[in-house]
Amino acid sequence: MSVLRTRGERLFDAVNITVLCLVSAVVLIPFWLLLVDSFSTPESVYLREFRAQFLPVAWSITAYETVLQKSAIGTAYANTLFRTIVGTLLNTLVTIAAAYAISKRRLPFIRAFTFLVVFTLFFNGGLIPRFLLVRSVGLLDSRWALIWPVLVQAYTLLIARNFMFSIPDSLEESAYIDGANEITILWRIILPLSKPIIATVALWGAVMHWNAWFDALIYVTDHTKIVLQLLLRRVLLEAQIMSMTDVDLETDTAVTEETVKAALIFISIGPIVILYPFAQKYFIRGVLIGSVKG
Amino acid sequence: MKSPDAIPASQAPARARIDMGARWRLMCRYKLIYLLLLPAAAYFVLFQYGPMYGIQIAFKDFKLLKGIWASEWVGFEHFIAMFASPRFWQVLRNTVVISVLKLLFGFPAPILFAILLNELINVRLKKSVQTISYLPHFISWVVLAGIVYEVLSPSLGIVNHLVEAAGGRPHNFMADSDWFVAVVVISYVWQTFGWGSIIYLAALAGIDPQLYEAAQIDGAGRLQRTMSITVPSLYPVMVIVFLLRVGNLLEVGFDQIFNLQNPTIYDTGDIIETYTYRKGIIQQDWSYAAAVGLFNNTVGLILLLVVNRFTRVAREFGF
Repeated sequence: MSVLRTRGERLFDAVNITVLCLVSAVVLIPFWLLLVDSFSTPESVYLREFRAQFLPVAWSITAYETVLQKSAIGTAYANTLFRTIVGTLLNTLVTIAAAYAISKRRLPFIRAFTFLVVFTLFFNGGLIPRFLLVRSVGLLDSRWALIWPVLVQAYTLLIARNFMFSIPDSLEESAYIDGANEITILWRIILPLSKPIIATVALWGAVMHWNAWFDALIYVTDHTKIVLQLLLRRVLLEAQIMSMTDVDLETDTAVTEETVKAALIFISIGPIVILYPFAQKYFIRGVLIGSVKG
Repeated sequence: MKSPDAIPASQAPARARIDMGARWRLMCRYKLIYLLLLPAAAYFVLFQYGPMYGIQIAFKDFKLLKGIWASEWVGFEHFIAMFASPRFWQVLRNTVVISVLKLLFGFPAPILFAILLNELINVRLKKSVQTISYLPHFISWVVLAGIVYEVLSPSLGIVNHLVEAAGGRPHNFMADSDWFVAVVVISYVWQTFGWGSIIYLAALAGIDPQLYEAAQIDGAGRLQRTMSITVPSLYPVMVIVFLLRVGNLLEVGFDQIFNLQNPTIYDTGDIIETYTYRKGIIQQDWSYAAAVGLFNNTVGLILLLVVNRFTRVAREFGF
């Protein structure tokens, strides 16, 4: 805007930059401290002074070695990968197909169905009836209990539908006049135009599956099917909780080293931290489509 | 395929009286559409509406072996027990307190952040700050709670190191119910301020630059331009976001609180959803837990409907 800035404005800019850098630091520092922990020798974590927190006192990769040697972690990683890959594929397929269908508002029962979808945003059966349903259809202790009950997110479906509204009908009509059949139109016109929303739905689904833990906690007790987040909860939190409730720690297994906990965190959030800066625009697009009209 | 959204106008007047036969023919003609809808429809019927059948156990003495249908009706017994329980009122109070505090601090934070970001001239810096601020949004609360415990650890955490450096004594924040709510609210703001700013940044990007130029020619300083152009242009989004959050007042963030809480802080940190979980899934007091859940969902529904009315009014007034 202005080329010339007053002294006051320059001061403001300097303060603003400082404030925003501080805010960024506050977001990053907890992650950085853990990263440092994960690359330290187990003993040095307990010895360090405040000043020495920001870099390892004694470098070591033993924490990662320990983590990678534990077979439970390999199992948990594989289980999480399974639910993320299969779950995301099914999510995306079913959501996009349904979004296209409910974008045809004039067809019989489509509005009624859309209302049923919207209603679930306002009211649901609640935790206990949901649990009893999953139990009664025989999904308890099955990997599919982590996939079928979260197959379609109502909110995501409505956002995808709003995106479909933006594809002009005239495109389909002209293709129809040119003799294309329904499948061809879907495959050659709708799908290519829907790529951005497909990416958004898939990425949202993938992050949801990767981070999900509560369904695994209540539906799956078989420890060979444990997911990564639940394993993390056991290691990171449940030991803490026990230490605070005077539970006799002697009977419990050895407390996990701080460095190993930190390494475990980085192994679990690694894929997301590496990928999200590149996929940001797809995540953001979804937020913006959603904010236009519900 | 001829688009069904472009049914000729000549057919429109008859639509009101459209008979089942015509509907059926239309559905046959567009059967691919219904085929595409089928899996999602099955999902919603089974997994979203199926549980609604189970709501009745809130009015029954549910026994796992008998099943939902065969269990005996007990009327409002569980609701009476719930309202008579001091524990329930404590949990409800905690839910409302945490929720209101989250609204109080969590609502303005992204607005302020968006405005400050908007004032940044260096585009690269702006992009980096944005990307960093989004990071916690993508991390599960299992991990974030682990991080909170580490940061606040009495012996190893950076916060207590700072307290000591300032001459204070280390404090076990996570075992102190006076501090728990503060920990929840601060970690919530920390997680959400960045992601929440997206919608405001989009509104800011839509402001016509001519407005700023005109204001500048009229002699408005930067602060004046911010206060009289930038901030007012955010009002519509603010109203909608605010109302939405009020409507979801009873959704306090189960994932966050469940992972942060431990029994030492239940008196301030136990909320309706975590209470339902412990009563139902852990103690297997199914019917009572379902009653608590139903109460929660019904109040939530009423709140949303009221707020929805407000939102519509707000939209009519140009918001």
